Amino acid sequence: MALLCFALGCLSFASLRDLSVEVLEMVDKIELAAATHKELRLTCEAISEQDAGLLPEIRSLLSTGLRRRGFVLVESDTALHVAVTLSRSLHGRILLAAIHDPSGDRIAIVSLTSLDFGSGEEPALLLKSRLLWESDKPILDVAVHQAAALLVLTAEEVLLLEKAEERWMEVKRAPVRMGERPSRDLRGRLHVSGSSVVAHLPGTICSGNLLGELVAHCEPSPASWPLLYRTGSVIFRGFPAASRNYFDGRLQTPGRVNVSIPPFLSVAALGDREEEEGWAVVGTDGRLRLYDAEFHWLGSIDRWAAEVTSLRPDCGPLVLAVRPEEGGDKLQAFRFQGARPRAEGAPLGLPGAVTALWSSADGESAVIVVRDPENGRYEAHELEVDCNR
Amino acid sequence: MRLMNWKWTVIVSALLLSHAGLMQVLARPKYGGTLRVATRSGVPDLHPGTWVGEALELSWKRKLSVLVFEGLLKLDQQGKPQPLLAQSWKVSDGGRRWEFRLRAGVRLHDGTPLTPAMAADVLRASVFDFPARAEGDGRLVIESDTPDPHLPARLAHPGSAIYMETSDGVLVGTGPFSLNRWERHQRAHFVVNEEYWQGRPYLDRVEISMGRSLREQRLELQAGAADLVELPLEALGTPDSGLRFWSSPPLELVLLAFSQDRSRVKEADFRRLVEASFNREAVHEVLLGKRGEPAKAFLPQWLTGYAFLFGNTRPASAPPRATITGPPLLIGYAPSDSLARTLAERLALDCSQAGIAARAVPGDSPGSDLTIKRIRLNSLNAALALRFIAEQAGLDPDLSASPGLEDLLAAESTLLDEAWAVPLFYLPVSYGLSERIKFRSIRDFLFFDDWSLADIWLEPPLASISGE
Repeated sequence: MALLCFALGCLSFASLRDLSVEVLEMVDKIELAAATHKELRLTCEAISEQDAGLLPEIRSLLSTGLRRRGFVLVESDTALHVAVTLSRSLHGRILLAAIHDPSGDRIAIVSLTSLDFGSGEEPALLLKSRLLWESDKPILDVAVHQAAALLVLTAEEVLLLEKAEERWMEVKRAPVRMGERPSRDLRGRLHVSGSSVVAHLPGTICSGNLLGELVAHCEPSPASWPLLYRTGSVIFRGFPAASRNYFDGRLQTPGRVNVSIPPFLSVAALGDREEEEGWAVVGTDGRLRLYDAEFHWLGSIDRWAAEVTSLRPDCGPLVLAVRPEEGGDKLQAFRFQGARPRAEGAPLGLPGAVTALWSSADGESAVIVVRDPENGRYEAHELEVDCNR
Repeated sequence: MRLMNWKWTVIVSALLLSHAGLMQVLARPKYGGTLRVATRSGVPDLHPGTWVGEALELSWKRKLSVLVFEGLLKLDQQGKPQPLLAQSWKVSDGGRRWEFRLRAGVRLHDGTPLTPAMAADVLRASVFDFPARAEGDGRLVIESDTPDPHLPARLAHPGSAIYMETSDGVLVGTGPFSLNRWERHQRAHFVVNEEYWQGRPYLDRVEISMGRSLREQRLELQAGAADLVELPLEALGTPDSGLRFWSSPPLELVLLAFSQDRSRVKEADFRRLVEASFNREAVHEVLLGKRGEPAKAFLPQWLTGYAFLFGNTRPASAPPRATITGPPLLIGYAPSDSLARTLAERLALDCSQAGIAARAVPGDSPGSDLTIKRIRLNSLNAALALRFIAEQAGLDPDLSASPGLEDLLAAESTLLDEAWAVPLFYLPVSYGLSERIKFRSIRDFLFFDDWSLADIWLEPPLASISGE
């Protein structure tokens, strides 16, 4: 199940301390049940193949914990057999130990709480989405300009719409031409400043004007793309890798122009102010890497999110993370405490797979593009956070 | 505890739902129309204060109740409590005191505002006898002498729904639909709650026809006279062009319930011999066409994560042939349940081959030594679900007020060891859907044994067909 597969990675790294505590709890229980024995034969298995990757970590923690309690781990059949199984219930993973004592089997169970999406409380914060535009063609980015104009970037054109009677009505459109072989997973970025319009496509930059030619010219360009904004200013720029769907790792932030990190797919800002900045970056290896303002590495979480961005509502900076799930991706807001994410509010169900997630120019909202798996159409939504629930 | 060597196999997640033709649609939802639902079950009443009956009937009472009534909390699809009429809650005093803040501005169908005092009155009189009281500032407090971590799950049960009986005897709640017409065991009509606090549902009405056989339901679906019908197990996985269906994870338990007042089955060894004579795997493969799964425990693996501990369902070696004399063992089944009859007949045959004369008999008559029962899980809370199964099987589980997973495992082990009830299979529950039913995501509409009719719409609206 996609949810569980996704959560699988949550046990790595950032939550490793939690896993240690949980495994230690199991060590306590095994110690209690096997107190009269010195030698243990420890076996570890997983019910689901998808969890098999977690076993070495769990086995290592168990072995270390048991040895510290004075047990000797052996392979002998005469030793007390402790069969540990990693299983899944509706509520998450559980670790079971069957202690095969001749006087009777005993079972110990410990719940492995991983990073939890969703909350048992009424969300203090609500993610809201508003449909902006839908199309049969892939929507790469959309930008709402001064609430009255909507720009839509597709692989073929830029579309300008204006609001009339609560509906977006097309005003004009202009083709874009890409200079290089496109990625099979095409991405693009719109940047609107005043009346100037810039459309970034892989290896190509197209420029125009809202008041004149929407796309006056397109030219090959290795220029960086604006990935994150704060109050209208770009705070993070990345360089797209040629003919790929990711950024090559070079980046620019205010005051830092020669920083390089592993290739990444998306980025979110963690802090509220420049001096308190930090970054969460989804790498092409699926790992979320966390950096401080100086790009010192803080930690990593495996397969935590497919895509991230950030926004800055009144209630403080949030990271939006896309969680792939069968039947439609889910979007969850998080706050980070150091390298530890904490879910905020309820996840937002999406009608399909996310193909784009960008922060908007004001930094207070974000846009998301979702592809419906059944009919292949694309929906672009504006995402906002209601802090006053 | 019966711990057996378990053959390590990868269990395909039970929560992967099967379905056919359930296309998501992108068009904006449309308002209007009447959803027509058919069911075998005959529900006598919707009163949240009474919650006894057989499992299928209660399953449908649950579905119909959630149209009209809501509780303070609900369980989400992971079985976790979520706010409903209560906007938030906090627990203190080591789980003894629970304080709920009720959502402001909610009204019952007759316009009566929801208040903590009204909710507390209802909860005190509910099937769970909550010691509830109203406190100022929209708060409701439940305080007890012992900690109760499962209180949220109990509050999410339809038996804890908030309702009021009007002066003319009509039950009103806060749900997305109000009850418009009720004929015991026959039909029910619901109309949309225009002022529903979560937003007006898309449907105008929901009509339920009860007591319809599976064959009748199927014909009505094919004729366009019904939109949502129950499907028999055998309808799944068979070539049937145009059948649009949804199938749940395995949540209907088929079990053998031995009659505790019958001397024939008073010995646990004898009951185990009967169990051992029945080859679950063969029946699962041949009679059930591999639908569902053989059951090793009362609660399914996907819910508890520990069911695998109960080992293989097939005995390691053939049971010893018994030499038991006396009248045949009588195996009861519900006359209207063809699957139960088939299983009863197969069990009788297996018993006979094991040296125990046995015969399948219709009806849950007092003369039966054991009965084939089908019990649907009633909650995603494992403790509540086990209690329900045990009650339906005539057992009394030794469950503490707030069992942890280890307590639950121990209680279930005890029940299995006693062998008064023996789990056989877990089966999915399936529905056939008309093409008119639209939804954004099937999980918003159907999940577990629940539905949300507020989230679906019809296309085209029935009004354009029937002239309503």
